[in-house]
Amino acid sequence: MKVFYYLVGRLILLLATLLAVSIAISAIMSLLPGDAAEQILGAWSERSGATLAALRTRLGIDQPWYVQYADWLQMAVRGDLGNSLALSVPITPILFDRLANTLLLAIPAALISIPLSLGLGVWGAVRKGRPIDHGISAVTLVGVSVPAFVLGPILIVVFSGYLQWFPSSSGLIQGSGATHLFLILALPVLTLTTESLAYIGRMVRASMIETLKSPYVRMARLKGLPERQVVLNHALRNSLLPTVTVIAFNIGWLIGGVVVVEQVFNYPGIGSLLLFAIEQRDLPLIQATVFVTAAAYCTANLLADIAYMALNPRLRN
Amino acid sequence: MRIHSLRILRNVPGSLLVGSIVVGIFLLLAAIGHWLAPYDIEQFNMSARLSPPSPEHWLGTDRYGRDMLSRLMAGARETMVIAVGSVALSLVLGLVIGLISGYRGGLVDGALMRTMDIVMAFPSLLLALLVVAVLGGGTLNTILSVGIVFTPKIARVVRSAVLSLRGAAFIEAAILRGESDTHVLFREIFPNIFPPLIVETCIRLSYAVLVSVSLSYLGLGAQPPTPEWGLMIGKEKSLLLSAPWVVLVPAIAITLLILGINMLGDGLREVLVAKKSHD
Amino acid sequence: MSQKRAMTEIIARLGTHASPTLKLDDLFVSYRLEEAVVQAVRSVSLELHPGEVLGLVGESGSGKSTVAYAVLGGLEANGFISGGRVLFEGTDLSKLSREHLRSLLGARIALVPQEPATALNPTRPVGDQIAEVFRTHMPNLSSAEIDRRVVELLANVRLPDPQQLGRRYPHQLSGGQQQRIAIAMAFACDPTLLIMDEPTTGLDVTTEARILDLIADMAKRTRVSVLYITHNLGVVAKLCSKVAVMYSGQIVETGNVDTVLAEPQHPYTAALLACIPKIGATKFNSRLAAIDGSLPNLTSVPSGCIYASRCAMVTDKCVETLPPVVQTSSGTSACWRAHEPIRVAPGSGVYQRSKEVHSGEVLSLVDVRCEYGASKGLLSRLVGRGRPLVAVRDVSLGLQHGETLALIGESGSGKTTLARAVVGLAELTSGSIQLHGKVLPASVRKREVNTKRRLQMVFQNPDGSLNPQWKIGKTVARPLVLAKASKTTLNERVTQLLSSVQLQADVVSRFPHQLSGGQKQRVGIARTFAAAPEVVILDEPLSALDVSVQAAIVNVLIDLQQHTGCSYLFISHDLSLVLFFADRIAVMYGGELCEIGTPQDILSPPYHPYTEALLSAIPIVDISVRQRRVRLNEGATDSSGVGCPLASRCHKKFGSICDEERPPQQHISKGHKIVCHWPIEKLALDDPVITSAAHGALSRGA
Repeated sequence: MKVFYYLVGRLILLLATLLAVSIAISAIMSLLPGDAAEQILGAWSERSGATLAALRTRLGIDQPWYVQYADWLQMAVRGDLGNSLALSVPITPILFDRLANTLLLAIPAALISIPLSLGLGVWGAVRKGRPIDHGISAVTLVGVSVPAFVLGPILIVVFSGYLQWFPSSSGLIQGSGATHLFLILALPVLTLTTESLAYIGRMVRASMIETLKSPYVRMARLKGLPERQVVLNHALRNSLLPTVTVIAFNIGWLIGGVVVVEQVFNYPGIGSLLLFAIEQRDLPLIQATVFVTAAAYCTANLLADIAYMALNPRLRN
Repeated sequence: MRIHSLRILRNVPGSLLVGSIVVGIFLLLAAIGHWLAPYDIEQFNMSARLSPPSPEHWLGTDRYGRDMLSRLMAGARETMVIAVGSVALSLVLGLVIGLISGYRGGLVDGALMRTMDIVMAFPSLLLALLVVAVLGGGTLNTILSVGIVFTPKIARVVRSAVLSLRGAAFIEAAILRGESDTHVLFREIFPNIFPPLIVETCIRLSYAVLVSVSLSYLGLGAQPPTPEWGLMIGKEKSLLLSAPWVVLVPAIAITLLILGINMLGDGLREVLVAKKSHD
Repeated sequence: MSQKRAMTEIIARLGTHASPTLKLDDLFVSYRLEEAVVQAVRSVSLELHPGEVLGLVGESGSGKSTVAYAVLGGLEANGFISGGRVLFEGTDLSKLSREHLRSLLGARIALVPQEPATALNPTRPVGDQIAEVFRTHMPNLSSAEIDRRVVELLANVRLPDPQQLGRRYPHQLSGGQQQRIAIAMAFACDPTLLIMDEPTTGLDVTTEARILDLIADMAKRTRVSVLYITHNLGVVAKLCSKVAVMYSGQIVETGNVDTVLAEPQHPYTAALLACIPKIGATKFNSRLAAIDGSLPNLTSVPSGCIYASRCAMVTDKCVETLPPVVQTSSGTSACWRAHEPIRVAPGSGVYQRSKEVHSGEVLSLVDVRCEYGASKGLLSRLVGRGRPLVAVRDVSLGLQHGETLALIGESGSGKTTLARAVVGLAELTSGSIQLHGKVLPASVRKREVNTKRRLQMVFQNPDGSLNPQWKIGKTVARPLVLAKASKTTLNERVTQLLSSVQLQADVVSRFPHQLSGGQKQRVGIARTFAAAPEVVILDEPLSALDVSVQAAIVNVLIDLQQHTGCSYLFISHDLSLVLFFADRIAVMYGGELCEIGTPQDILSPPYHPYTEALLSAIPIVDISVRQRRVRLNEGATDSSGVGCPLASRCHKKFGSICDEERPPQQHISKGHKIVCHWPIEKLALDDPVITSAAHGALSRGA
C-alpha cells in the first residue's frame, strides 16, 4: 500500500515539475528578442508598423506572456497544443510525427546499447586488469570522448563516402519501405548506440568493480559458490541499482541530446523541430516541443526510480 | 598501469599522467596559441582556398584560404575559455547553493533542491540551447548558459558531501565549543569536500567542452569569425566529403581535449579514492 | 564451568592420536604494499584437534584475522602465503587447486564472519542465502528437502518463527539474529572445521552471551573443531579449551585456557591480563597496567624478540636474538625467560580524590524525556503519522562535583541519546538539564558560549572526532584560540595538554591519518580539556580501542580528573571497566533507569533483573571467579511507557503487573535505588551473580 502512495506522490511531483517547467519556458521565451511576427515579415517588419501590429493581434502574441500561457494551458490539457506561428498549422500532429521519428532512432539505440553495455561492463569488471579489460576501458573512454558531431561525420565518410553502403543524409520520405528505412536509420542509430554504449558501459564497469569488492561477495566466495554464481546472483543485482539511474539519464539524453545527431544527418526529428522553432521565435511550437521532451525525460527518471525501488528491498518496506 | 620510472611519480596512475599532459598542452595552446600561430587567422587567401595539408599549410586551408593550423591553435583559447569559464561559474554558484542547502537543511534545503530539480528536468544540451537562444549567441552568453545548466549537478555533489560530513564527530565537537556557522562551513567542512568536488569538476569540464562545442556546432554558441572548433565543424560540414581536413582537424582536436580531460578525471578519482582506502 | 572444560579436554585428548583437524606449520603470510612486501604473519604453528575450541587471541595488528583468511584461501588480492603449510586433515590447503578448495569451503570448512550485516547480501532473502550452500555442495538434494533443512537450521539456532523467517531480508533482522543466520549457514553441511572471526563484535553483551551459549552448544553436539578468533580474553575463558596468543604476526604463547590465564608464561600475555580490571578492583585500590610503546613497524622486522621494545622483562639477549619456542606446562611460549616468574610493569599511583572537589551537584537531569518523530503538525497527526519513538523516558540523575557517574546500557537503552541531550545535540522533549541549578536551553545553539565551554564531550569514534584536514596542533589549540589565549601561552598550553594525555609534543605537526586509534583518542581528550570544562560527557570513548590502549586511556582520564577536579558522565556498555572506574553506576534499559548505585551496590544483591543478567553476561577473564548463569528471554523491548520495558524479556517477571503498571522506585540505601515491582527483601535473597572461589561474594577492596 505504501508503494501505491509513493507512486501517486511521484506522479503528482512529475506533473507539478512539468507545470513549473512550462511556466518557466513561457517566461523565459518572453524575453526572447524579436517575436514570431517579426520573423514572418522578415525585412518587412521594420517598414510597416501597422502590418506588424495587425499580424501580432492575429497571431495572438500581443497579449502578455502569462495570458498567452494561460490560454495555452487551457488548450493543452485538452490535447490541443495550438498552432505553429511560423507554419500556421496545428502543432500536435507535426509534433507527434517528429517525436515518432526521434523514437525510431532512440528506441533501437537503447535496445541495442543497454544489454550490450551491461555485458561489456560486467566482462571488463570481472576481468579487471587483464588485456580484455584494458581494451574495453580504452574503447569506452574514446567512445565518451568523441562528440556525436565528430563520430557522425566519420561514420559518414567511411560508410557513405568510401563503402557507399548507406546514404549520407537521412531525410525521411513518406511511405518509405522497410529496407529504405533501415538504410536511412542505420548510421544515426549507430552513432547514438556507440555513445550510449560507451557511457553506460563505463558506469556498469565501475559499479561492478565496487560491488565485487563488497564483503558479501567475499563471503559468497568463501561459502564455496562457483565464481559465475557469485557474479550473477550476488554482484550483478546489487550493482544494477546505481546503473538504473545511469540508464534513465541516458534515455533522457537519447531523447533530448539527439538534436545534434539530427543535425549531422539532416534527420527530421523533434530536435531539429526545436531548433527550427527557436530560430523562428515560434513560441507555441517551442513550448510544445520542450514540454514533450521534458515530459519524456521526467518519465524516464520516474521509471528509473520505480525500478530502483523494485530492486532494493530496503526501500520497499 | 603505473609509472615505475621516476621515484616521485611512482604512485601516479598512467591515466592521470597522460591526462594532465594532454590538458596541459591544450592550456598552453590556449595561453600562447595566438602568438605561436604562423598565419593571421583572419587573413583570407582565396588563391589557396581548400588546399589539402602541405608544407606551407601543415593542416591545409579552409574555404576562405585561412590556415587551419593557425585557426586550430587560436581556437584552443576560445574553447578553453568557454569550458573553464562555465565550469568556474557553476562551481561558484553550486558551492554556495550546495553548502547552504546541505548545512542548513529544512525549508531552505527543500526549496533550493526543488529548484535544482526543475533545472535538471531537462537534458543539459536542451537547456543550454534554450538559454542561449534567449541570451543570444556569443562566447559570454555560452559561458553563462552552460554555467547555469551545470550548477545543479555541482550543487548536488557539494550538498551530499556536506550532508555526509554533518554527522561527523569533529563537526559536533566544533558546534559544542561554540564555533559560528561560518567557521564550521568554511573552515571545517569545506576543506574536506575537495576530493569528490575535484573529481566532479573534471567531469563537468569534459561535459562543458562537449556542450559548448555542440552549441557552436548548431550555430547558437560562438559566432563567426571566432575560430571556435565546434563552429568550424558546423559551418563546414558540407565539405566533409570533398575537403575532409577542414572538418577533421577541429574534430580530432576536440576529441583529444575531451579524452585528455576524461583521463585526468579518471586518474584523479583513482588517486583520491586510493588515499581514502589507505587509511 | 571448569567441569565442562575438563570434559572437553578429555574428549579432545582422546582424539589426539588422530591427525589434527587443522595444523599450521611454520606459516608465513605476506602482503604486497606499494613500498615493500610486508610479512604480516611469521612462523605461526598451531594444532587444532577434533572437538577442540581454540581461541586465537590478539589485539589489532596481531595478524589473527590474516591467519584465518590464509587458511580459507580468502586473502585480499595483494596477500599471499609466503611459507609454511596449512594442513587440513593432512592435506595442504595452500597447494590445492581453486576448484578443490572451493569444494571444501562452505562444506567441510566453514566461516562465520565478523560483521554479519555486511556478509549477507542485502537484496536477497536470508533463507535463500542458506539454501544456496546446500545447492552448491549437495546438489542431489531436492528443493523440498533443502527447504526443510533450512527451516531445521533456523530452529537449531533458536530463531523465532523458523518457517517464515527465511523469507526476510537481512536489514529486517537484528544484529543478533543476523549472526545466528551466519552461524546457521556455517553449520549447514556439517563442517569439520569452523573458523569464527570475532563473531560477537558489535553485539550487545547480553546478546553476545546467548550467541556464545549457542556456539558452545552446537560445537559440543557436532564435535566440530573451532578456531575462534577474538581480542576478548574473557570470551576465550568462557568458550575455549585451548588458547594461542598472537602479537604482531607471531604466536607468543599457547596452552590450555585455564593454565595460561591463571599463570601466563609470556610477558605479553601477562601484560594483557594486567590491563583488564579484575572484578572487585577499583581505581581507589589499584591501577591498570598499560603497555608502553606501540606496535613495531612491520616493514623492518627486528632481529630479536618482536615484543622486546615494550617488554617489562627485556634483556639484551631479547633484543638481539630471536627467542626459541619452549615447552611450558600446557603448551609453548616464545620467550627467553619463559620459565622465570613473569612480571609486568606496575602501574603507578592509585586514584585520590582531587582537592578541587567540593560537595554539591554540578549537573542535574530532571525528568528528561527525548522523543523522536513526533510530528507537531496537526495534519500529520490526523493522518496518523504522529507516533513518536521514546528514546529516553523521564530519567532523573544528579552528577556530583568531581564524581564519575557511569551510564550503562545496551543498544536502544537511550544512554547515548541522554548524553547527547545533556550537551544539547539531541532533542529534549520535556524535562530539564541544569548546570549548578541553572536550567540550560535544550538546544546547544541557544546556549551561551561560556556554558558551552563548561560542558564538553569526548566522542566514541576516534576517526571521526578529528578534522582530517587539520594538523593536530591546530585541533588542540582551537578551544584556546576561541578563549582568546595569547600566542605564548597557547603553545605552552598545547604542549602541556599533550603531555597530560601522554603524547609527545612533536605530534602537533602531524595529521590524523598518521596516528593510531589510541593516539587520536588522546588528541580528542586533549582538545576537550583545552576548554577547561567542568563536566565532561564521554560517549563510549573506549569502545573502538584495543584492551591495552583502553587501559592507558582510562589511566589518562583518571589522572586528568585527579588534577582538574572535573566531573565525568561516562557512557559505556562495558560493565567490567565501569566497575573499576566509576564512583556510581546507573543502569538503563529501554529508555528508563533500572538501577543506580556504587559499584559495590551493583555487584551484590539485591539486583534489578536486568543488572543481574548483565553481570551474568560479562565475559570474565579471571577463572577463579564463578559466574551464575542468568539469561534474558527472547522478546522485544516495550518502550510504550505502559508497564516495565523489560517485562516481555524478564527472566523473573513478577506478574502481569509488570505489563500494566510502571515499576516503583525503591531506595535501598542512600544513593542505591532499584526500579522494579519485586519487593527489595525478596531481591536481597538472591545469590550473588559473581563470586570468587576463594573469597565468596566479592566486595570492594577484597
